[in-house]
Amino acid sequence: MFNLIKMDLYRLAHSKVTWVILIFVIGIGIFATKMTDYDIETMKQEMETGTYVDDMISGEVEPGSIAVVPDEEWASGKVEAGSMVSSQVESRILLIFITVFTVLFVNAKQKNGYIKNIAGLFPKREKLVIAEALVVAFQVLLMMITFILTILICGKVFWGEGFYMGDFSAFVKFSAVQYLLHLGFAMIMFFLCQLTRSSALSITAGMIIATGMTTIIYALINRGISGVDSLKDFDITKYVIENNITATGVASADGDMVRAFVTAAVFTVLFTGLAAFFMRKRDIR
Amino acid sequence: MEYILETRNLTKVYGRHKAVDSVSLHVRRGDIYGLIGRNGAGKTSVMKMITGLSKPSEGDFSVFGQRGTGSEMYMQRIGALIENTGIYPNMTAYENMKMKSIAMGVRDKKEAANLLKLVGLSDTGRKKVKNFSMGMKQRLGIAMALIGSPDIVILDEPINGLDPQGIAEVRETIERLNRERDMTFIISSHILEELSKISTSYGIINDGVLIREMTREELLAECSERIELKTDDTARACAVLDSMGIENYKVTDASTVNIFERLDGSGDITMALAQAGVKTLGITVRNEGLEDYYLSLTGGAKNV
Repeated sequence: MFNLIKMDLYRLAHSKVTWVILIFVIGIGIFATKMTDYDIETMKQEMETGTYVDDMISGEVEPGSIAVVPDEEWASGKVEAGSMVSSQVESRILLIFITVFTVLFVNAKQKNGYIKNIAGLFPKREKLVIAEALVVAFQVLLMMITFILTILICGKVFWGEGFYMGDFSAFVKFSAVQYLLHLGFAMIMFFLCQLTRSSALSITAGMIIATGMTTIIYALINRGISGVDSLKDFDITKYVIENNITATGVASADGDMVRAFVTAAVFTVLFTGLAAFFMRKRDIR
Repeated sequence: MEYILETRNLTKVYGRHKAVDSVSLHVRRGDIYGLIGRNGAGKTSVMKMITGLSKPSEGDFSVFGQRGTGSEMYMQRIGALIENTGIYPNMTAYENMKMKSIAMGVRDKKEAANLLKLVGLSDTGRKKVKNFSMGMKQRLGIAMALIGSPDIVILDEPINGLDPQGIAEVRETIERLNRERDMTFIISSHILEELSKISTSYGIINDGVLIREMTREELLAECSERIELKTDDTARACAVLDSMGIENYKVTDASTVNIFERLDGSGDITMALAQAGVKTLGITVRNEGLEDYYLSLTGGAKNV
């Protein structure tokens, strides 16, 4: 299997999609940070009439609000790196790039027929899936690190000394859990590619999940199971990947972090296993 | 005799369609086995099963005398080009070769370059495969099948898209590898004349059924000029032929004797049989080309 991992790493390095996506991740990191900088500047100028998200949530909305920033401290020009990274990662923007990369990378092997050159050599075909999944995991890690580093560097450029790192261990914990959540999402895409062999279908499904259009489905599910007494208080949105990405911030409670971690682990193992199952059972076309 | 590859009642069903029906073929070490059949006959389906790309619905196959899980460790000794060449269009020929070499754990760093030279693609440099001609892609596919110096090479329609020079080069390459490295080849084609120049054994497949298996010599014998004698008593007919001093003949079925000498002696043979009380149901001089022989076996002429 080590040879298969090396092969897929070679393919990763020589695939256009790998580098194009990383460039876009850098681009969106710069863009997102700059947009936040604009918001902060606007907020500073309109300090008297600005509104903070927490105040809006608590109902203490001031009339004439023209700017909203996620953190009250930011309006004073002090931006904590963890909360900045957290707000951008929670926006689920990375899921769009993960969708595009995973689908194009995984489906290329099938679409170009290259799978026929190697599938027969390895009777235990699940090795092919696991090796490829590991390489996808590596690329997702690379994307995450690139995104975070871009934000940190841009933050330092835009805000200088005002940009600081708070609780570093909390930041690392948050980053690790978010990486696993994003990996879980990548494995859902991986599985869809194996199941459907269709880039169009897989990318569409990925976009639907990434943009939160699945809310309707979850609401229906919650409504359906609320009739069962023992499941009255069950909320499925707490156990799906995309909602955990949005809900897990750098300041999240330990309980929420654990739930997010377990959700990510279950999705990663489940969907990788399903992908391996389908690869083993199906004929290679 | 131990065969390097042997299938036993290999069957493949897709939904309600039986693409391969109880195929039992036998490939000896060092053979260049030609699998002949029209489009849709089941050649590719057979090849996909013996290369592990699809699972048989029934039956099995053995490689190096090993069946089932025992054969799994020998699958890396099989190189294959099945249907269209599976290559990444945005990579170069060398990069495509390199990837498969890595997957197979081939340590020889020059193998990819040497194989590209063997198939005439050493000068492609940084040219992306998407800019290759069909013939170049086909040759790259053959080179990919040869990575790791396999003992068995399975080529599905390898001369598709090649010009006459390319076809001759592929033929020469296969013969050389067969001679110098004792590689066994299984080649499928519907271009019978090309297969006849190179194959040492044949399997004729039609509508998923293996109709005949034969060596080159047997095929030549079947196709050569002969007197075909139809009679109701082949045993007594043979005795009459022996008494006439005719030695070169063969009983092909319960009522047919093929005679390969005295081709202008039909009249004498008929009279001798009559005198011995052996009924002659029919006597004709036949001369079949490979294509005619194939069509007569498969009933293809009626579809023309």
